[in-house]
Amino acid sequence: MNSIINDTRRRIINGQEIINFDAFSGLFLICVTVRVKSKKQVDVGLQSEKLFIKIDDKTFPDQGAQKELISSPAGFDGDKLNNLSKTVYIITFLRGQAHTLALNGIATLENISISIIDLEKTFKIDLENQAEDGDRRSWITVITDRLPLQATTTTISYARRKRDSDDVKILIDGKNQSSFARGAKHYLWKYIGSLLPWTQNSRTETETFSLNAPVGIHIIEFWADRMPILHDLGINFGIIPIPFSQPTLDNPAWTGSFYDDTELMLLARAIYGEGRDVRLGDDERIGMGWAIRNRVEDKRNRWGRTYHQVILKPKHFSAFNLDDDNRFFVENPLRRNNEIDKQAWVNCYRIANDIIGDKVSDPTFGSNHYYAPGKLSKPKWADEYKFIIQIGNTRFFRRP
Amino acid sequence: MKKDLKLYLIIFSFAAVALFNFFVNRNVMLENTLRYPHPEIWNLDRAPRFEDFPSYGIFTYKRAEVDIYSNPRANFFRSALRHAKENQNVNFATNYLIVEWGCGSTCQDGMILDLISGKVYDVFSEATARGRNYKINSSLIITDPADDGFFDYNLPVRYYIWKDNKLLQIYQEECYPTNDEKYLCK
Repeated sequence: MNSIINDTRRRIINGQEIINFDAFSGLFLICVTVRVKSKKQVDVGLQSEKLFIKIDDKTFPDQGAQKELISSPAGFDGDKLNNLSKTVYIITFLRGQAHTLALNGIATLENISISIIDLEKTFKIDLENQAEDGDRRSWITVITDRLPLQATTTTISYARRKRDSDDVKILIDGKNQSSFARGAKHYLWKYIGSLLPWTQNSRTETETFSLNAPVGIHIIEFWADRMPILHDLGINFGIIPIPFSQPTLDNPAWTGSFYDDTELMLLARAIYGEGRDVRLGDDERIGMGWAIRNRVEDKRNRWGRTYHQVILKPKHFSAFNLDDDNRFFVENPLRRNNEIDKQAWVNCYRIANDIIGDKVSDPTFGSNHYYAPGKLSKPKWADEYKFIIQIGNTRFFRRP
Repeated sequence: MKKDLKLYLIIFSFAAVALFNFFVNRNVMLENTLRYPHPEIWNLDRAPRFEDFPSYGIFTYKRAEVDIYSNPRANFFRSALRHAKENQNVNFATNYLIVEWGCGSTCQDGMILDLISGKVYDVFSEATARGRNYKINSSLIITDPADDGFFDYNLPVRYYIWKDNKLLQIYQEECYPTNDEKYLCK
């Protein structure tokens, strides 16, 4: 999971807040935690606070008036939540580079985070989220957009308390997931167990719900009574259909936008574009790949947070410049359809995979720049930055 | 024994000629970029603009073959130069082609190709980090341009004009750090 935004600044939204973020085409996890007050809790004469979410002009549900959006599971209605926090997770495909998350309404924003998640069959969110003390109300909502839903697994802790104990109602696509056996077991623990002082006051349960739901919008709602803890939520998507033809190792032709590439694909393209020359050794290619990774992981975020931001930054990796000879080869590494190119491409892809997967260590010791001396001119920064190592004919430098 | 001596003499003479050529041509290359300032060409306080140095005309000649012997480095980059001559449009001062290629990360190298004579001019003494700006209807070249004023590499913006097959630096903007990792150039 690659975090793009993690904003924990508590602030009041009055009307609309727009959060713009740059990324690449892929599956995103968007998390918004909000607190909205009821009419009784706001100043006299004001309406209760309400909020709904829009991502790239897409709402949940797809269509509906503002009132429906607020009362939907993805909305926040002060009259129902009474200033208790609610968290909405949205898992959705976003295509392209620039995206917008709009929060419309009046509310107190507690947390907002956006991450890109790996396209894997199963996905687990570590929540460790304890509900605030309150009566039955919507607590956590998870929306999966344009995805199938095979099964979900939840781990929840309940505590027995005076007067009223913890309780959770799980609704999937509006359908209550409780069963007679499950309800009876919980009832026995809650009421009969309270009469038996040697039994434990809290318990943690892991439950799996099988659904086999087809591709579409699926909504998993957690309603809390008192203060249960949701430890984690596992989602089994089954086979994830990618809504566009993403380039692959065998068919790496670009779609017209490098933002449709995975990070691995783009890094492989960059290594191929920069180090395709047969005279270069693999050590040099690994060094180039690591120089890119070191920029991505730069603590001061000087080049960008993602491989896409770093590699596609204008003039930084010339193979991606529009007028560069190598541009043809990064757009489609197998354009010439010959064995030499194919071998070099497969090799660059393997190197990129090893770098991203931590299977090869950094031979450049944290370098973030390189150039090839000899017949090529020397860049001015080579005099200023710290020379680290020369691998083959490539000199690696670290910008402090 | 005599045969060996002859062989050594031939190798030595070849090496001596190659070394001589390298140093002489290197000096020629460095002299091509003449020193700044040139108040007789530019004496205003503001940075030069493309329209200050117009280059008139339309290139209608047949493109000459790339003369790879016109420059010591041209032979090394002959493929890029020939490819550019065949595929790129004229992009600088009516009849020239600025051909650029990468030299590393944040590093652009290049040469100027005269499409009338086929001669190659190796006049960029340094590779750039932020690239170069130039236009077909102007003889001005801006290296490491700072179009929006902010860049994260502390390099001066240099302005050159192309005159008598040489680059003359006529103006320079220094870049200053403004806030974290950004620079303002003026």
